[in-house]
Amino acid sequence: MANKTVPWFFTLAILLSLLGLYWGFFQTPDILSEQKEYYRIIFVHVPAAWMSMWLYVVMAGWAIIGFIYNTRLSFMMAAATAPTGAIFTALALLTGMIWGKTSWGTWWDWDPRMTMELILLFLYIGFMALQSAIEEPQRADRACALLAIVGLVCVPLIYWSVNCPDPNECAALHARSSMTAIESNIRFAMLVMVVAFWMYSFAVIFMRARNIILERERHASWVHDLIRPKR
Amino acid sequence: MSVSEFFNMGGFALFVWSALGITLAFLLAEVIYLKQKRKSVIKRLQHIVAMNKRDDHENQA
Repeated sequence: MANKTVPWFFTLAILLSLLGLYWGFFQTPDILSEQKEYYRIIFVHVPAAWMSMWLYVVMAGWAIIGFIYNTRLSFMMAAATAPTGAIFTALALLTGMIWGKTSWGTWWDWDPRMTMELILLFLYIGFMALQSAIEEPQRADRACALLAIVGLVCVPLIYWSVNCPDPNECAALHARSSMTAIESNIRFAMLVMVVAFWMYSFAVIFMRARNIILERERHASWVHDLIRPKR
Repeated sequence: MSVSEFFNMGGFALFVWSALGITLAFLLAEVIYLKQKRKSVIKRLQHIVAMNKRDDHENQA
Protein backbone atom coordinates (compact mmCIF):
# COMPACT_ATOMS: atom_id res chain seq x y z
CA MET A 1 0.00 0.00 0.00
CA ALA A 2 2.66 2.44 1.11
CA ASN A 3 4.52 1.70 -2.10
CA LYS A 4 1.80 3.22 -4.28
CA THR A 5 0.84 6.13 -2.05
CA VAL A 6 4.32 7.64 -1.63
CA PRO A 7 4.44 9.33 -5.07
CA TRP A 8 0.95 10.72 -4.50
CA PHE A 9 1.91 12.23 -1.18
CA PHE A 10 5.01 13.76 -2.76
CA THR A 11 2.97 15.19 -5.63
CA LEU A 12 0.47 16.72 -3.21
CA ALA A 13 3.29 18.07 -1.04
CA ILE A 14 4.94 19.77 -4.03
CA LEU A 15 1.72 21.21 -5.44
CA LEU A 16 0.55 22.49 -2.06
CA SER A 17 3.97 24.02 -1.29
CA LEU A 18 3.89 25.83 -4.61
CA LEU A 19 0.40 27.13 -3.88
CA GLY A 20 1.31 28.07 -0.31
CA LEU A 21 4.51 29.85 -1.29
CA TYR A 22 2.86 31.60 -4.25
CA TRP A 23 0.08 32.82 -1.98
CA GLY A 24 2.52 33.69 0.76
CA PHE A 25 4.79 35.74 -1.46
CA PHE A 26 2.37 37.30 -3.94
CA GLN A 27 -1.03 37.56 -2.28
CA THR A 28 -0.01 38.91 1.10
CA PRO A 29 0.82 42.36 2.47
CA ASP A 30 4.50 43.15 3.02
CA ILE A 31 3.89 43.83 6.69
CA LEU A 32 2.57 41.72 9.55
CA SER A 33 1.81 44.09 12.43
CA GLU A 34 5.15 45.91 12.87
CA GLN A 35 7.14 43.25 11.08
CA LYS A 36 8.43 43.90 7.60
CA GLU A 37 9.07 41.45 4.77
CA TYR A 38 11.09 39.13 6.97
CA TYR A 39 7.86 37.90 8.57
CA ARG A 40 7.57 35.68 5.45
CA ILE A 41 9.82 33.21 7.23
CA ILE A 42 6.49 32.34 8.87
CA PHE A 43 5.57 30.17 5.88
CA VAL A 44 8.25 27.65 6.72
CA HIS A 45 8.80 28.38 10.40
CA VAL A 46 5.30 27.87 11.77
CA PRO A 47 4.49 24.76 9.70
CA ALA A 48 7.83 23.22 10.71
CA ALA A 49 7.20 24.03 14.37
CA TRP A 50 3.72 22.53 14.21
CA MET A 51 4.98 19.40 12.49
CA SER A 52 7.67 19.02 15.15
CA MET A 53 4.91 18.83 17.78
CA TRP A 54 2.37 16.84 15.78
CA LEU A 55 4.88 14.23 14.70
CA TYR A 56 5.90 13.83 18.31
CA VAL A 57 2.27 13.14 19.20
CA VAL A 58 2.05 10.68 16.29
CA MET A 59 5.25 8.96 17.40
CA ALA A 60 4.10 8.69 21.02
CA GLY A 61 0.70 7.52 19.78
CA TRP A 62 2.33 4.63 17.88
CA ALA A 63 4.38 3.87 21.00
CA ILE A 64 1.23 3.72 23.14
CA ILE A 65 -0.54 1.48 20.61
CA GLY A 66 2.56 -0.70 20.56
CA PHE A 67 2.48 -1.07 24.33
CA ILE A 68 -1.23 -1.89 24.47
CA TYR A 69 -1.51 -4.29 21.53
CA ASN A 70 2.11 -5.41 21.42
CA THR A 71 2.27 -4.97 17.65
CA ARG A 72 5.68 -4.81 16.04
CA LEU A 73 4.44 -2.62 13.22
CA SER A 74 3.41 0.23 15.53
CA PHE A 75 6.89 0.31 17.06
CA MET A 76 8.36 0.38 13.58
CA MET A 77 6.07 3.29 12.69
CA ALA A 78 7.21 5.16 15.81
CA ALA A 79 10.82 4.59 14.79
CA ALA A 80 10.02 5.74 11.25
CA THR A 81 8.47 8.97 12.54
CA ALA A 82 11.31 10.10 14.82
CA PRO A 83 13.90 11.29 12.27
CA THR A 84 11.35 13.32 10.31
CA GLY A 85 10.16 14.88 13.55
CA ALA A 86 13.74 15.71 14.43
CA ILE A 87 14.27 17.35 11.03
CA PHE A 88 11.21 19.55 11.45
CA THR A 89 12.28 20.46 14.98
CA ALA A 90 15.72 21.45 13.74
CA LEU A 91 14.12 23.47 10.94
CA ALA A 92 11.76 25.20 13.36
CA LEU A 93 14.75 26.18 15.50
CA LEU A 94 16.96 27.26 12.59
CA THR A 95 14.32 29.30 10.77
CA GLY A 96 13.27 30.68 14.16
CA MET A 97 16.82 31.81 14.81
CA ILE A 98 16.95 33.57 11.46
CA TRP A 99 13.66 35.24 12.26
CA GLY A 100 14.83 36.09 15.75
CA LYS A 101 17.92 37.80 14.37
CA THR A 102 15.78 40.13 12.28
CA SER A 103 13.00 40.90 14.71
CA TRP A 104 14.59 40.56 18.15
CA GLY A 105 18.13 41.35 17.05
CA THR A 106 19.47 38.12 18.51
CA TRP A 107 19.94 34.61 17.17
CA TRP A 108 18.96 32.97 20.41
CA ASP A 109 16.92 33.95 23.41
CA TRP A 110 16.17 31.49 26.18
CA ASP A 111 12.47 32.16 25.89
CA PRO A 112 10.37 29.27 27.25
CA ARG A 113 9.12 28.15 23.86
CA MET A 114 12.55 28.05 22.23
CA THR A 115 14.02 26.24 25.18
CA MET A 116 11.27 23.61 25.15
CA GLU A 117 11.62 23.18 21.40
CA LEU A 118 15.33 22.54 21.91
CA ILE A 119 14.47 19.91 24.53
CA LEU A 120 12.07 18.37 22.02
CA LEU A 121 14.96 18.09 19.55
CA PHE A 122 17.00 16.31 22.22
CA LEU A 123 14.10 13.94 22.86
CA TYR A 124 13.94 13.01 19.19
CA ILE A 125 17.70 12.55 19.05
CA GLY A 126 17.58 10.53 22.27
CA PHE A 127 14.90 8.29 20.78
CA MET A 128 17.01 7.66 17.67
CA ALA A 129 20.19 7.09 19.67
CA LEU A 130 18.45 4.65 21.98
CA GLN A 131 16.98 2.78 19.03
CA SER A 132 20.38 2.23 17.50
CA ALA A 133 22.16 1.60 20.80
CA ILE A 134 20.12 -1.47 21.78
CA GLU A 135 20.85 -4.48 19.64
CA GLU A 136 17.73 -6.48 20.30
CA PRO A 137 14.80 -4.85 18.44
CA GLN A 138 12.11 -5.78 20.98
CA ARG A 139 13.98 -4.22 23.86
CA ALA A 140 14.92 -1.17 21.82
CA ASP A 141 11.29 -0.70 20.81
CA ARG A 142 10.06 -0.78 24.39
CA ALA A 143 12.77 1.50 25.75
CA CYS A 144 12.16 4.03 22.97
CA ALA A 145 8.41 3.84 23.37
CA LEU A 146 8.77 4.61 27.05
CA LEU A 147 11.00 7.59 26.28
CA ALA A 148 8.53 8.86 23.67
CA ILE A 149 5.60 8.62 26.08
CA VAL A 150 7.40 10.33 28.96
CA GLY A 151 8.60 13.07 26.63
CA LEU A 152 5.06 13.74 25.49
CA VAL A 153 4.77 16.19 28.35
CA CYS A 154 6.94 18.56 26.30
CA VAL A 155 4.37 19.14 23.59
CA PRO A 156 1.67 20.97 25.57
CA LEU A 157 4.45 22.92 27.28
CA ILE A 158 5.67 24.19 23.92
CA TYR A 159 2.18 24.90 22.72
CA TRP A 160 1.14 26.96 25.76
CA SER A 161 4.52 28.38 26.63
CA VAL A 162 3.46 31.70 25.07
CA ASN A 163 1.53 32.41 28.25
CA CYS A 164 4.64 32.75 30.29
CA PRO A 165 4.37 34.15 33.79
CA ASP A 166 6.60 37.15 33.32
CA PRO A 167 5.77 38.95 30.07
CA ASN A 168 8.91 41.07 30.28
CA GLU A 169 11.07 38.02 29.95
CA CYS A 170 9.17 36.51 27.07
CA ALA A 171 10.23 37.41 23.61
CA ALA A 172 7.52 39.67 22.30
CA LEU A 173 6.85 37.85 19.06
CA HIS A 174 6.02 34.52 20.66
CA ALA A 175 3.98 36.17 23.37
CA ARG A 176 1.71 37.70 20.76
CA SER A 177 1.29 34.83 18.33
CA SER A 178 -2.35 34.02 17.81
CA MET A 179 -4.13 32.53 14.83
CA THR A 180 -6.94 35.06 14.76
CA ALA A 181 -4.59 38.05 14.91
CA ILE A 182 -2.97 37.11 11.60
CA GLU A 183 -4.10 38.66 8.34
CA SER A 184 -6.31 36.14 6.51
CA ASN A 185 -4.15 35.74 3.37
CA ILE A 186 -1.08 35.13 5.48
CA ARG A 187 -3.00 32.60 7.54
CA PHE A 188 -4.27 30.84 4.42
CA ALA A 189 -0.77 30.51 2.92
CA MET A 190 0.55 29.28 6.25
CA LEU A 191 -2.15 26.64 6.60
CA VAL A 192 -1.59 25.42 3.03
CA MET A 193 2.08 25.00 3.92
CA VAL A 194 1.09 23.02 7.00
CA VAL A 195 -0.93 20.60 4.86
CA ALA A 196 1.97 20.39 2.39
CA PHE A 197 4.34 19.48 5.22
CA TRP A 198 1.89 16.81 6.40
CA MET A 199 1.85 15.26 2.93
CA TYR A 200 5.63 15.36 2.83
CA SER A 201 5.73 13.70 6.25
CA PHE A 202 3.42 10.89 5.17
CA ALA A 203 5.62 10.25 2.15
CA VAL A 204 8.96 10.14 3.94
CA ILE A 205 7.63 8.25 6.96
CA PHE A 206 6.23 5.56 4.66
CA MET A 207 9.54 5.42 2.83
CA ARG A 208 11.43 5.01 6.09
CA ALA A 209 8.94 2.48 7.45
CA ARG A 210 9.48 0.37 4.33
CA ASN A 211 13.23 0.41 4.93
CA ILE A 212 12.81 -0.57 8.57
CA ILE A 213 10.36 -3.37 7.74
CA LEU A 214 12.68 -4.74 5.06
CA GLU A 215 15.56 -4.91 7.49
CA ARG A 216 13.60 -6.38 10.34
CA GLU A 217 11.59 -8.91 8.34
CA ARG A 218 14.59 -10.14 6.40
CA HIS A 219 13.66 -13.76 7.07
CA ALA A 220 10.17 -13.46 5.61
CA SER A 221 9.63 -15.03 2.21
CA TRP A 222 7.96 -11.92 0.75
CA VAL A 223 11.13 -9.96 1.46
CA HIS A 224 13.13 -12.56 -0.41
CA ASP A 225 10.78 -12.29 -3.36
CA LEU A 226 11.04 -8.52 -3.29
CA ILE A 227 14.82 -8.33 -3.23
CA ARG A 228 15.38 -11.04 -5.83
CA PRO A 229 17.48 -9.37 -8.56
CA LYS A 230 15.48 -8.69 -11.68
CA ARG A 231 16.76 -10.39 -14.81
CA MET B 1 6.96 45.47 -8.09
CA SER B 2 10.04 44.54 -10.09
CA VAL B 3 11.78 41.19 -9.99
CA SER B 4 14.81 42.56 -8.16
CA GLU B 5 12.56 44.26 -5.63
CA PHE B 6 10.85 40.95 -5.04
CA PHE B 7 14.09 39.09 -4.44
CA ASN B 8 15.38 41.90 -2.27
CA MET B 9 12.53 41.36 0.23
CA GLY B 10 12.76 44.87 1.58
CA GLY B 11 16.43 44.34 2.40
CA PHE B 12 15.79 41.08 4.25
CA ALA B 13 16.64 38.86 1.29
CA LEU B 14 19.38 36.99 3.10
CA PHE B 15 17.13 36.07 6.00
CA VAL B 16 14.00 35.14 4.06
CA TRP B 17 15.72 33.16 1.32
CA SER B 18 18.14 31.40 3.64
CA ALA B 19 15.21 30.24 5.82
CA LEU B 20 13.47 28.87 2.75
CA GLY B 21 16.69 27.42 1.35
CA ILE B 22 17.59 25.63 4.57
CA THR B 23 14.11 24.11 4.73
CA LEU B 24 14.26 22.93 1.13
CA ALA B 25 17.77 21.54 1.59
CA PHE B 26 16.84 19.56 4.71
CA LEU B 27 13.71 18.06 3.16
CA LEU B 28 15.44 17.16 -0.11
CA ALA B 29 18.35 15.62 1.76
CA GLU B 30 15.98 13.43 3.73
CA VAL B 31 14.31 12.11 0.57
CA ILE B 32 17.63 11.44 -1.18
CA TYR B 33 19.01 9.71 1.91
CA LEU B 34 15.95 7.46 2.20
CA LYS B 35 16.16 6.46 -1.47
CA GLN B 36 19.79 5.50 -1.13
CA LYS B 37 19.15 3.75 2.14
CA ARG B 38 16.54 1.54 0.48
CA LYS B 39 19.00 0.61 -2.24
CA SER B 40 21.69 -0.27 0.26
CA VAL B 41 19.29 -2.30 2.44
CA ILE B 42 18.15 -4.33 -0.56
CA LYS B 43 21.73 -4.88 -1.66
CA ARG B 44 22.77 -6.08 1.78
CA LEU B 45 19.80 -8.44 2.08
CA GLN B 46 20.53 -9.86 -1.36
CA HIS B 47 24.04 -10.52 -0.20
CA ILE B 48 22.81 -12.29 2.95
CA VAL B 49 20.35 -14.41 0.99
CA ALA B 50 23.06 -15.40 -1.47
CA MET B 51 25.38 -16.38 1.37
CA ASN B 52 22.70 -18.46 3.04
CA LYS B 53 22.00 -20.27 -0.23
CA ARG B 54 25.65 -21.09 -0.62
CA ASP B 55 25.77 -22.46 2.92
CA ASP B 56 22.72 -24.64 2.22
CA HIS B 57 24.34 -26.12 -0.88
CA GLU B 58 27.52 -26.85 1.01
CA ASN B 59 25.58 -28.53 3.80
CA GLN B 60 23.71 -30.72 1.35
CA ALA B 61 26.87 -31.74 -0.45
